[in-house]
Amino acid sequence: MLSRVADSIYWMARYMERAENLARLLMANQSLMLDLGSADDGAFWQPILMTTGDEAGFRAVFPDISAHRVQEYLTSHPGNNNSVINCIRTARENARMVRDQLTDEVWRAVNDLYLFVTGPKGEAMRNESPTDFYETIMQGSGLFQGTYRATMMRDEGWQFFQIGTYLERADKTSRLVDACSSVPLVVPPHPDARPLRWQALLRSCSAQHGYRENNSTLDPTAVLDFLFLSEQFVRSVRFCVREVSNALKALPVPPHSPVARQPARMCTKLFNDVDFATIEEILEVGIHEYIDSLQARLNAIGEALFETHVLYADLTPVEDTAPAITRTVAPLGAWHSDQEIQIQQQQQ
Amino acid sequence: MNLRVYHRTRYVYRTAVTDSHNEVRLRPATEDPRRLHFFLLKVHPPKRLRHRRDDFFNYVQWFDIPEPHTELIIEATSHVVTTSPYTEGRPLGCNFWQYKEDEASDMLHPFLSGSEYVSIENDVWRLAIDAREDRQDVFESAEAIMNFIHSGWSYTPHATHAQTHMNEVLADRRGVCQDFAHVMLGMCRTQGIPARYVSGYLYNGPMGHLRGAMASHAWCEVWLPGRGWYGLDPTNNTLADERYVKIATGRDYADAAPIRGSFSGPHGATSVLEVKVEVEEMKASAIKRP
Amino acid sequence: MHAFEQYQTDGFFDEVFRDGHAVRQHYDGLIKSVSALSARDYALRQQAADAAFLKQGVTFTVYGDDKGTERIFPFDLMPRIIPRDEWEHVEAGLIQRITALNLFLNDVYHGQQIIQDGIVPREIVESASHYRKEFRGVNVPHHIYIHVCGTDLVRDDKGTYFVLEDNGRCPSGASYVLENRQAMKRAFPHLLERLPVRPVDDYGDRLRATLAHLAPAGVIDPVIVVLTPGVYNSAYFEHAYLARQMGVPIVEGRDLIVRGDRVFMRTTGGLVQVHVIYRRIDDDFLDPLVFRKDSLLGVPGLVRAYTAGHVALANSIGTGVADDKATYAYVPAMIRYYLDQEPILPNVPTYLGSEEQDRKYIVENLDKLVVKAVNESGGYGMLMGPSSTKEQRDDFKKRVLANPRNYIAQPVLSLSRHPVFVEDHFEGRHIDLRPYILYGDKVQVLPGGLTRVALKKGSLVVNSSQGGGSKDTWVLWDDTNELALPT
Repeated sequence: MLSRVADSIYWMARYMERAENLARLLMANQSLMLDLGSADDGAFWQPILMTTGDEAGFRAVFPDISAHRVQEYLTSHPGNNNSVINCIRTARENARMVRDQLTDEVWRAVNDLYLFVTGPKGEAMRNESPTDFYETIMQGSGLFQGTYRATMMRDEGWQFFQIGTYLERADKTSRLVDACSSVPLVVPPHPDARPLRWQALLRSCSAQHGYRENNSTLDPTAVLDFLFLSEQFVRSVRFCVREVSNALKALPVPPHSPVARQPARMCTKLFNDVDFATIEEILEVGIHEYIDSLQARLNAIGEALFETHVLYADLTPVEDTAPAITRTVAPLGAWHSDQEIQIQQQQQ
Repeated sequence: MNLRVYHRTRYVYRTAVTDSHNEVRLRPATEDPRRLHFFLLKVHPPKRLRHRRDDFFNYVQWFDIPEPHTELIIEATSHVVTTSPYTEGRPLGCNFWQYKEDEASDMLHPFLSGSEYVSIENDVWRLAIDAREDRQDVFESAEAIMNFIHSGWSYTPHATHAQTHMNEVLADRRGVCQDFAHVMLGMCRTQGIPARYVSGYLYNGPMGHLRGAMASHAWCEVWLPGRGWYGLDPTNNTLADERYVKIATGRDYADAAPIRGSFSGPHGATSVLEVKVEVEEMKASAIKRP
Repeated sequence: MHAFEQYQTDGFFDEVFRDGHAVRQHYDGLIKSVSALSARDYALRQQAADAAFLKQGVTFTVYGDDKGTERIFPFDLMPRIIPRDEWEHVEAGLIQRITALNLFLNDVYHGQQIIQDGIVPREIVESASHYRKEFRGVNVPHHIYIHVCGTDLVRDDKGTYFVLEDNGRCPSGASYVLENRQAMKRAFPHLLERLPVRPVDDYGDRLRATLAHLAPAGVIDPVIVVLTPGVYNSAYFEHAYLARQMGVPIVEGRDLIVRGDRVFMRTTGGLVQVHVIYRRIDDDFLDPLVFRKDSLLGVPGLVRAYTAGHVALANSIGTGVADDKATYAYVPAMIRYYLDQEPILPNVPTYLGSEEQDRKYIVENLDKLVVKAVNESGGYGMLMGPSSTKEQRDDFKKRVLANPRNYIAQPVLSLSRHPVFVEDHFEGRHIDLRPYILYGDKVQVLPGGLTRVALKKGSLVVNSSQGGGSKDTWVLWDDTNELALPT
């Protein structure tokens, strides 16, 4: 498969997943904010900006934090490349690059969502009922995921789709946890905020049902255990890393490449670490520190993937074969040669 | 019949050769030019083509390749509509004495003598007498000779080559269409029947069993006084009807050979001679609807 | 439907009606079937076909329009029918023509015999903007330059076919031929069952075989790719479509890399050598090392790999000199010169701005002529004399005198017309025909080709960018054929 095509599929999957996560995060926190009532905007939204890694970008545009500004920045601000709408735009651009490699259903799913969020309908809904807007995006993303699974070939492109989706998801889940756990433990912004915040975290990850099935109380350690290490929950770090690892192992390896097995090796190592970890060990390291190292390793896997299959695929040494054809054959000097008669074909 | 003919000849030389001069006779000959719907000759290396008419009014195309080359491909494609001269039956009723009064007799002289590959020696005359028995009708005599060759000679590819003289074929009693045509020419000529060599193609049909359809084919035409030329194919023992596409005629193979040429290069320079002939029927005209 | 009751041929050669109202024999079945439908039913089928095109994304991008709008190429449901005899004549003429053009290209890039023999003036060849003098002396695979040719044909008021233009660089439109046929199959399945129409669906296979023929010697299973400028190109749909029809990858310049005079594509499994490139990028953008330095679309080193014989390009480099509008005037002479035959399809009489006498005639008769800029395609840079204003004519006069080599002029042909469905009835509109010729091991012509229609009433311009549309083109097998007929 062409590296460019694989790369586009990978980024299409990542950006679609990013948009969905962001939409869910915004929806969950909006609902949390309603519950909290008169919470301090700055203290409430600052961790969320941190989660998405956009705080600096936000500060460059807006002088101070307000609920409305953060939402606008994260949803539709043209200057934010990682806003929901820009993520969908980027996903659609990548899909367009490989339009001919996608089934019509997948293309329609991406394109329709793009047309919705950039069109007047989407704008109206965003202003009037943000929750519906975010929900429509999650549904659109779900349709995309579903049609992709239901209609696409299970070829290399599929592996890149899986890697993009699950790398992004592992990254986002860990960031959400990081933001939530960074809220001061001792002095919550509001006496009732902590349980609500954990609740919002579960909702941001679409984990409330899964968690409730296995736990009767909202215990932070149990939440962390669930989000990090659940074997069944599709957004847990462990689940995501396993999917990435499996997909990487299924990719063909470029011959002679010095970095050929790098991504699969790195990811399998990471998976083994996560697979045998306990939540107690993680807490001992410190959640923030643990997540930092996890994200660094996820990023390294993404980079190694790019290097191996896209960038450094070129470094494959070219075998020096004999010249394909000798174009001009030196003629014998006319003085060496006789006048020959063209052999005639027998009529049969 | 509406036929499409594709004839490709490929020479490969062991070493580059130069100054190649070539003459080809590959264009179907039709009395009515409208019957030749399409004809195109393609030469590789690509060269400018010219044409002339030879002594027998054959259409001859020629081209030169001065520069060194290791391969020569000559490819002719034609669409031609053929007809049969036998639609009203066999042209019987011509007697030998009618040749004396035939206005065309001067023109026919070359087709009554020996030529490069055809001999009219006594042994040939003797065979022809045996074949003809005592028939007095010219066409029946020619048919008898054709029949005689068909039953007495065995069709054996690779036993002879393009330059095999008729005398060898007489002795060995085997060969291919070109050889049988030469034998028939000799036998007819000894009996005073003007006969000429025809180079062309044979449509064998999708399920055909006729010989000579895989390469270019050869047969004979005999002159019937006051009527003209009629084709007979000793290889298949058939009359040359609309399945036969005529390209060139002459005294024998030497006059009508599809490709003749020479080049400058070492002896034995040609390593491959490859010939491919395809004759397909294109469906007849008229639009029908169910 | 009484859709033809008011139909007027207006003195033009009409493809369907002879002497005003008699239906030509080969249209008989079609006209009967169409007449049996109600206008409403016909209109519904037309709408369904349009909707299908939009849904499939069968679109092109219009240049010179800031928004880069994507549009569908309007499609008229009533097919154009070409009887067998007529098609055989056209086919023979096209094969003859492409053979001569390839001989011409081989000659002007080698010994230039035709120039030395005074048949084509040296200036015409060497001043052509697509002549690549740096390419002289390079041997191309099998000496074939134009592998895919789209030749524009028109018929005059007597129904004679003329060649209007050869497109020997990257002719587009073949995908519409295939898509139009699909649309017809959906709209009139029974009609296509009953009429012995020659299929066009195998174009992808034939194109692939033509390309495979070019592979360097010794390569058994060549890797073939379609090289596109990218998704923003107006013809991207076609590039992707043809790649899919052939089952080969579609690549952009950045997917290819040259190493040791060989071309490779970057795949996830490493570099894969490419043997044949069906390029849909103009010469200028092909290789920034040789042509335009600023080209981001091309592949550095591609031309060197090509001249080294490790990769084949279709079409070859520099073929534009053969489809130059001034060179066009010399094609009949080329056919006589190289093939020693008379041209089967005539040219439209052409006056060259570069020839003094012709130039004088052009300037004096601007109101009667069609003047075309030599280096523009698609109906841009053109003056339609009879319908022009004085201002436009003065402007063109200046342009012709300032740069005579860049202009040619032709008399206004009274192009043939074909019924086109307008609202609830049929009206005559001018049409042309672009057949596609493949030159590989053998020369083959896709039966029919793209019939383009000037949808504006009275207009003679059929280009998609100028309000043109298209029709499916049916070439008939002559007799009932088991392929085309149900049992």
